[in-house]
Amino acid sequence: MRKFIALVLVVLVSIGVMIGCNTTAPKGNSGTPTGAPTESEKVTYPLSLKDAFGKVVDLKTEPARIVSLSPTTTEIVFALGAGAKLVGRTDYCDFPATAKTVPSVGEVVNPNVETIVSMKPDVIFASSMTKADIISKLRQLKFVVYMEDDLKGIEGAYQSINDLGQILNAKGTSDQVVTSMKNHLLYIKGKLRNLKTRPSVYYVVGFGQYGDWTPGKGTFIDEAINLAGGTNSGAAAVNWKFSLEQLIKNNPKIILCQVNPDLKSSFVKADKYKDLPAVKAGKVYSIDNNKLDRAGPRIIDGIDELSRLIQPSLRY
Amino acid sequence: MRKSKIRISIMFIALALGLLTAMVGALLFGSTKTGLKDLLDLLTTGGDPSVATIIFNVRLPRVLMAAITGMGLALVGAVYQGFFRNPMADPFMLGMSSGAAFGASIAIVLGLESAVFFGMGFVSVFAFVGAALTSVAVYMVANSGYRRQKVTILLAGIAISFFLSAFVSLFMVFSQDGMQKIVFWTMGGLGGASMDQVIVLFPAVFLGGVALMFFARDLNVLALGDDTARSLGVEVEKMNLPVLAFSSLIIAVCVSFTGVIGFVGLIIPHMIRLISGPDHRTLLPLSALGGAVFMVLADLLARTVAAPAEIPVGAVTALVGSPYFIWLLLRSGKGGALK
Repeated sequence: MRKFIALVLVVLVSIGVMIGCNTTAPKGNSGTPTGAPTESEKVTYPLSLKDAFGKVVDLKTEPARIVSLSPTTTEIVFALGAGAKLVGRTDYCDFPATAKTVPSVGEVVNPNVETIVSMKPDVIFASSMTKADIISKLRQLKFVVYMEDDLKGIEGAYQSINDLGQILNAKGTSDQVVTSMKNHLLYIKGKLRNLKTRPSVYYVVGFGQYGDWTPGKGTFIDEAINLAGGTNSGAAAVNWKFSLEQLIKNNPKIILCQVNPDLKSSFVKADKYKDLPAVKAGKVYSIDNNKLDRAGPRIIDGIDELSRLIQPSLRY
Repeated sequence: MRKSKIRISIMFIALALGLLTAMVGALLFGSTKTGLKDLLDLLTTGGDPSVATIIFNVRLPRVLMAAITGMGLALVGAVYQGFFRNPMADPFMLGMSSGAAFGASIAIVLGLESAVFFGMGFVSVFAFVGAALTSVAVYMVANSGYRRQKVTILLAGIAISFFLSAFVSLFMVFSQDGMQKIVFWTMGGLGGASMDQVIVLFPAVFLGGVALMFFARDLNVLALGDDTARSLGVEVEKMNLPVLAFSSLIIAVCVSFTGVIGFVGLIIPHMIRLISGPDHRTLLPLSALGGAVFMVLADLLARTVAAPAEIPVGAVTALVGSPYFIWLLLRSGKGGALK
């Protein structure tokens, strides 16, 4: 049991689903505000809407103090130009870089309730990563909590951005962000319309002693690989669990390694893995998984990055 | 004889004062800065409302939960060590930690985390039911076996515990989303403490504890061995059901709210016994007090040393307690003051 927990923790860290430290420089324009609200797009309060889990969120006035318990909502708050209102974030909220100057409330799963209370937030943004009893404690203390759902992928990103646009009275900006994301996606889809080949791609979340982990069919990353012009070599994975034997048998053309934490350097040197044809051909690349794992403003950038790695000839 | 009585009185007073001091201290310190002045302001003029929320709605339930859980765990630990005549006995011997984890996992996998039942989270309710049913199952298996000895209870507990742990592992493998929640649940913690939980926890631990106190004298005789105890008039077999039932009640409630917090129930009774001697009439209440002081301080450390991040309280209990216990062992081994 204990061994299994240790194993699971290691895998969780390596999966880094939705969390981790960003090691690459920000790309694209989505980390910066794209406009100010115009009079016609003003939101009226009191405001009532449903969050990603169907919970009703009621706001009497426009929130002036925000605590974000999810790296995704932190990114959205900054993308909506409301970064100055952010008074608290988690240790994992690392993008944009200015977010790191905001005081932390601890880590994502078990943030410090007392610190959150002391920040007197008008609204708290969170995800299902945070323990349920922490969320219910905050609701019991009469805080307004909005929960986003990272597992919903692109549609989830649009919903969270639109909802936060309403909550923060930044409807104009959120519309612009979503529109530019949709255009970006259309552009990528256009580029990839008439593909001759769709190379098989294996996406490494974890490997080696603690098992091979990859997003199987039904996950957002599986969808993203297909969108980006590839086929998922690990589609048969059940609950992200795969095996080295299947990996060798499927013989993927391209292998993508998460950078949070960095897997590529150890993957290409690992016993058995180093003999994979894709590794020998130098077709192992790093991918900034934070963009794909967080259903926020950079999710299309993540797909863009994927497509550049999977279909390089189309772009340059 | 007289000397030891004085020593025990001193221990009672010291631990009671210690508990009071620890609780006040735990109310005053946290991840945010609040001073004695803030507390006085609150009691007199009202002060800052967010400070009031922090002290009364965030810290107070936590401190009370820590104290009551510590009491329950240490008391049951002391009872089990006497009952099973086994120094390795701890409150989770009957597999109740696995039972609670099993129940909690089912609730998590079914997606019932945010569901609430009479003010209690469904995960806690399921964990309680899991823990309670486990103890019933262990008792029934042990009681219908060929050899009705205590070792049978222990072995049945171990077997059922492994059986349920296997299920928890399976749940984790087949529910990617639930996996980390289950892991974090089993690590335990007091971050979600609320007065609703205190209202359930307190009567269970208090009543269970008082009931167990009635068995203190019998536990003293049991130290001579079951056979000797039987010849001295203790109805050994008749003790099994009530002792296990009240202990299980306490542990099932504690574990369902706080997850598995190790060490307290194992080591605190030993620490107390080293100083107070083995008489269960004093050992049980002193262990309860000692467990409370220890848990309040451990939780205070857990939420302040790395603030605003929180450390699992179970890690703190073992990290701080083990070296102290080893030191006590070494001292008593030299034939020092503890003999």
